[in-house]
Amino acid sequence: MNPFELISPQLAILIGAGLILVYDAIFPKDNRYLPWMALAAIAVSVSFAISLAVRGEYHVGFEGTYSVDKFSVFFSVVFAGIGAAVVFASMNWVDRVGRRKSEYYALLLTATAGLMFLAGARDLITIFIALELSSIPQYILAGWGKDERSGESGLKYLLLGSIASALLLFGMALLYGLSGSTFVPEIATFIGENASDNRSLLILASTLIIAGFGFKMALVPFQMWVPDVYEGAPTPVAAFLSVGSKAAAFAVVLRIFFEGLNAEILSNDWAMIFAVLAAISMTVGNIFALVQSNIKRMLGYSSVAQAGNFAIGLAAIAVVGQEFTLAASAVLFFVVAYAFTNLAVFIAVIAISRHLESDDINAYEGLAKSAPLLALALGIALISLTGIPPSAGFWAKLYIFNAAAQADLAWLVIVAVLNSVLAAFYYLRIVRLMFRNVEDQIGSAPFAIPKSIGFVLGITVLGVLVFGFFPTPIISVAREAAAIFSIG
Amino acid sequence: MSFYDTWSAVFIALIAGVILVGTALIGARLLGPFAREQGKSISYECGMLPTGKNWTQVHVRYYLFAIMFLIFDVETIFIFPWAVRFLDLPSHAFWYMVFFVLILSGALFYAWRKKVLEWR
Amino acid sequence: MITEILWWFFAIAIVGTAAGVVFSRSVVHAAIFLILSLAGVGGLYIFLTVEFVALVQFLIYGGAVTVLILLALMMTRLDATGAPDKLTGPQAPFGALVGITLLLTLVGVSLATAWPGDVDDLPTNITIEQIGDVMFTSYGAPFIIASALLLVAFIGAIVFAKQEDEV
Repeated sequence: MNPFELISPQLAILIGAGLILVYDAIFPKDNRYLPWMALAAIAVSVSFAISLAVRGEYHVGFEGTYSVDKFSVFFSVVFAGIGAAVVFASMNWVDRVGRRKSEYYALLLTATAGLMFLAGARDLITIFIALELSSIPQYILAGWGKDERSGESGLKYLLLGSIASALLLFGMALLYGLSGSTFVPEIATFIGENASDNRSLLILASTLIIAGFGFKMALVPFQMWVPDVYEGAPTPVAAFLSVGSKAAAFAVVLRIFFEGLNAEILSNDWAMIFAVLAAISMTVGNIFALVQSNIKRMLGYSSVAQAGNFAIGLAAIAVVGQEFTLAASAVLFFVVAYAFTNLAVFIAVIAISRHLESDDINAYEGLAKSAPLLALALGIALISLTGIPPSAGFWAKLYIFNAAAQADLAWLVIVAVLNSVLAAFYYLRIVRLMFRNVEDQIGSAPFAIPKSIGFVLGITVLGVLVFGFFPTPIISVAREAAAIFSIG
Repeated sequence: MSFYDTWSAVFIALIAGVILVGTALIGARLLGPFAREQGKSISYECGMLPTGKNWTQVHVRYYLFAIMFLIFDVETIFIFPWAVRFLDLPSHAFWYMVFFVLILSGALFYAWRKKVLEWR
Repeated sequence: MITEILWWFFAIAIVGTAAGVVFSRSVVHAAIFLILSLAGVGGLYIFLTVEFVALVQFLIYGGAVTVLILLALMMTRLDATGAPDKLTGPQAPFGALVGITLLLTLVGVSLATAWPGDVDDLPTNITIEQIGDVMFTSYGAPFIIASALLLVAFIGAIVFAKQEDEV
């Protein structure tokens, strides 16, 4: 197949970004249409992605370094959806900031395109450069706000992200130096034959790659950037960071580890690393989130804990002959559920902080009176994050715990369940604060939320509820997408 | 070993250059008198005493032009291997470069209209 | 024999100037040492017979990137009184510990693996045609991503550095 057809979703988004810039260059005063142009580019890209998926099983392009299979189309659609949701959520904020609108949407679109490239990349160089394409716009976007904290968060994200990329690149260089190829399946065949001679190097390379990606995934001990960056960055950008790059990091780790480093002698090692990191991340994230008073910092630590939940899926290699389908499909379902849930939380926080002009959790008191629908939406999203039925988050956690239990990781499941109980404390504390009956507060008059925010908030909360009641369609899609990780 | 024949000349030239400059500097340091005095390190301004700070802040336009130079330099570097091979490669290789140049031309057009290319 | 001597020459040059970057007292001296270190890496590329990559290294790193670093330094250091900067803070012992552990781990692991290939083989001359072949067939996707990356760098620079004369 023509290579341009294979990457047509990403090309559509990139051309859209270029057109936004050119349009702004030609008509600088007329910038009401920019977000709609961005959304049109994303819509075109999704249609290309779905037409690729419909057209056949499996296409490989660029001599095999980029593949379009159900896995990559699944993630492409998820990332496009996340991009569209963040565009909706930022429309109001960007208008208020008032400057540099076209650049904002262009950067957001290129970050989305980078994430989509990550989904299909099967080669170390492509993975690395797609990772950079998705990260660098996020570094720039994190510093977009006018206050000093935003600049500080952008700088921190840039410095720490660059160090993480350097570690990742070193691990990839070691893998290449050993196996002589950057192509992940070829690395897999090489390791399959020679793993026992070179175990220490492979463990070192795996550790460095986990370190590099662990930064993006916000696993402990690579999580130090998370609370500061989430607090300082503009909230729509924090939403994109928390869902987009985390999901992409998990997609790439699935690709590299489940497809590349899946020799039995090696996989027990990195599975144990992931299990330990998952346990520590959940615990540390939850403990620190309990004591936060700023909602964005709390959400930062909560996403560290959720990354721990994700990583349980990475550790859960089914005992049956190195088949990873169960664990991979659990992670993929978690990606969808987490995307909807976390986006809902962040978008609700955008609306509330815009009105209250504060990020303090205590200011959420009595919100149910002044904005009942908004409080309900945030409540549903928080319940899903905790994992209480009937929400999508409940099924997500259930599937991940099931995969872990089937992989003889019962201790990890126990730790995870205890952590979910711990997390319920701070998630439900907000729900309780919101629905508390208070007398007349300042600013308790009912306030309206902008239509764009209301629209996307409605869609995400609806997704949380619908997939909570009917998770089966997404489960079957996830299982089909994860089928590429089965042997034979 | 034609590789070493070609590059050994360059290497010898490099060593010779280092020796030449090094000799000049070290020779000057060893042979000449060296007395550090306050008056000798003030910058020369045609006999007048200098006023004000001697470090002014560099204008940010220099940085913008340096970045633009870097980006278009990288673009040039990418065009080199393409130019040598695009006739022998399948046709989509040609269109890759078209896309590449178009995207960067779009960036240049954008910079032009946003008055980044003007000097103060 | 000659290859070994040359390799040691380049290795010592790169590591020595890199140490100069870290330990020099003035930031501008550190930038100059960085130029020398990158030039040393370029020399190593010539030694590995990938002359095109050496050209790229000298042009891009030695030309554009170091100019950028020096300009950024000049723009942000207003109080250049010439006083030497403090090199270390209270985290120095931890940093040294991490550095030494990393060094020992890397050396130990490198010695313990069975690397394919032999150090004494002279690599075949990699021509620019071969690089071009590979770049536009196997690695065409990174090539396209690179164009978007350059676009992003451009936008980022303009956003942060442009004068706010008009919106």
